[in-house]
Amino acid sequence: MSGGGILVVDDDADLREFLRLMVTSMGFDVTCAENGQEALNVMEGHDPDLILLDMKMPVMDGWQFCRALEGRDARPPIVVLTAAPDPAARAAEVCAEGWLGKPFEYADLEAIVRRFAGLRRWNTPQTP
Amino acid sequence: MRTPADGDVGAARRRERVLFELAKRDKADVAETFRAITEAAAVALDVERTSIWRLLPDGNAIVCDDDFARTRGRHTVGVTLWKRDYPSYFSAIAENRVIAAHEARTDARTRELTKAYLEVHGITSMMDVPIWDKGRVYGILCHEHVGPARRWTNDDEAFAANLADVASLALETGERRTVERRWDAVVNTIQEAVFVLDGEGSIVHANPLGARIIERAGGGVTLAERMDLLEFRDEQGRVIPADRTGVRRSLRGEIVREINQLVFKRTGERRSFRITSAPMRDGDRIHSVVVVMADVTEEVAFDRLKREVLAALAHEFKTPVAIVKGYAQYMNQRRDASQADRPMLAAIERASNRLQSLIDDLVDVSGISLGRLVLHREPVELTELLRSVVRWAAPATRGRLVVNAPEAVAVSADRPRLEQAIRRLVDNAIRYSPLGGDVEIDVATSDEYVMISVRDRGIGIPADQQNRIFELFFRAHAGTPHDVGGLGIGLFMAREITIRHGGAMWFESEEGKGSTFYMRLPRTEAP
Repeated sequence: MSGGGILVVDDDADLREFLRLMVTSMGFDVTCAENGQEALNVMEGHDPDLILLDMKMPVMDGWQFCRALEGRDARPPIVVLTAAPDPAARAAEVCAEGWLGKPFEYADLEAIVRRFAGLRRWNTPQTP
Repeated sequence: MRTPADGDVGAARRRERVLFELAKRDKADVAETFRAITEAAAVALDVERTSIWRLLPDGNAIVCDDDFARTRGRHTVGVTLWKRDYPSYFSAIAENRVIAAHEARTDARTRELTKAYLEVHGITSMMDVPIWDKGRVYGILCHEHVGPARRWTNDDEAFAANLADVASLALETGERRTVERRWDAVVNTIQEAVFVLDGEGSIVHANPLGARIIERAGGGVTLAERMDLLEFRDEQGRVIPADRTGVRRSLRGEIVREINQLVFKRTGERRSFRITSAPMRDGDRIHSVVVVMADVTEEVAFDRLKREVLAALAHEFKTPVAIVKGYAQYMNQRRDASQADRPMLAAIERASNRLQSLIDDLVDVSGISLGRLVLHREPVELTELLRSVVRWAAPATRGRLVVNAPEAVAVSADRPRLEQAIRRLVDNAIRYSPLGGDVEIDVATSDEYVMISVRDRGIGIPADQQNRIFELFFRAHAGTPHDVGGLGIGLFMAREITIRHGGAMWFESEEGKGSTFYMRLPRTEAP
């Protein structure tokens, strides 16, 4: 299984490409998925350091995707990208590590990606 | 052969009978009653003409309501006599007493009438009795005799006065009936269903629209029957228990105004009604309840749709704006961007920011009007927050932006929301000070409250617009040279946010001199 990089999950192709360009320019490898199901498929053979996750998507939305990850021992940190009026509440709903409200500032995107990339979340207590 | 005494007794009986018959008849139609009075009076008093005249309110003329000529058996109306032509006669009328003119052509009160009227009709004696209506003289009942002059007896006068009373009664009944008919016409044509219920809640009256609702429900006159046929739900669709319906509450004395969904159990149909019910009392006892219902199904559905579309639309705007703004920022930051491109990219970014703040406003407004504004309170240091507002506002200011605040003031508030509300006030102060002028932000504190005031020396708010200033989408200067754009939601938002914090907002303003907006907040969250 390959590792590292950022997984961008968003159904809007233009926004996905924009995020790929931005995050690549920050020096990260970027993989993209159109919806939650595709993201799960990508994660079969790849373990990203951070997931940038849109919530409203066809096929499998952000909520369903997060529920699918709940059964795992560990998952990468998730930053929710949302146009909802209360992004913090959205993030809390799915126990995400962070959030960015659309539209966002380049500087905020960079700050949050650098902050969370690589901070793995363990669902079971780690034994030293 | 009858003796004169018999004749008198016979006449007296006849007169009693006439009064009895007149009293009995339906007096709803005033003109018809007047005709009956004049005919009956002519016969019972044995005179040639009997007429009823209406005195105009200014007292300058009398107009004939009905004139009955006995030999020809004909009624006429509409003749007018003017005070200027018969001043003495009018003075006599104004005394509001019986005018019994035995010799009408020589009597000082009536002789003016001789040439034009008395001689024309051969009248020799006349007797006028005032007709009263609600404490004022309505007009006169006039009896005119032809042939040898006649002496009016006390019985004649008394009988004529009784007839005039019948005329008064007819006026009163007629007016009441007119009011009733007018009221019925209103109740029968209005777009609301109207019901009158008795003290037990049974329907005793329903207008046509009300009847249609009863029909749609499948009957249901008593309260129990209705509860079998209808289900009352509140605006959110929760079933209202039988003893909490508007009618039940009104039967207990409450005036209730609310929107209910009515489920017609027979068909399953569900419609929204704005229902107003009010008790009618007789002393302490509630003898009936009036219920007015307006079908607002379409209105309610449209209102919800409007708010949901607004929220969805705002949501859908955000992703495209994120892309436009993001690329503009990205390209402007690249080292290879040309000097010619940079201002354009900056303009794209500013335009995106404006779009974004419009979208944020719409989202906020739809959220607030859908009741979705949730506050996340925390201790907020107000002076620091004001400094942040000043930093934000500084680029737009033309005059000075002055803050007078104590070193540290703590309030319990939702920081982003509070900042948003204060920004609105400061933004308005700057916008509506086109010639510059200082904007002052003052903070005053007490043990319980913090008061923030934002004062400008701008154009002020016209007095006739002041009571609408906090209305959603209201813009005081719309369409005037002072129109600086915007959606008209800033002050609405600012006040809503303040109210949700348990505070209050008001203002003082004078056109041409400026405005001061006050925001008072409790220092701690109300328990």
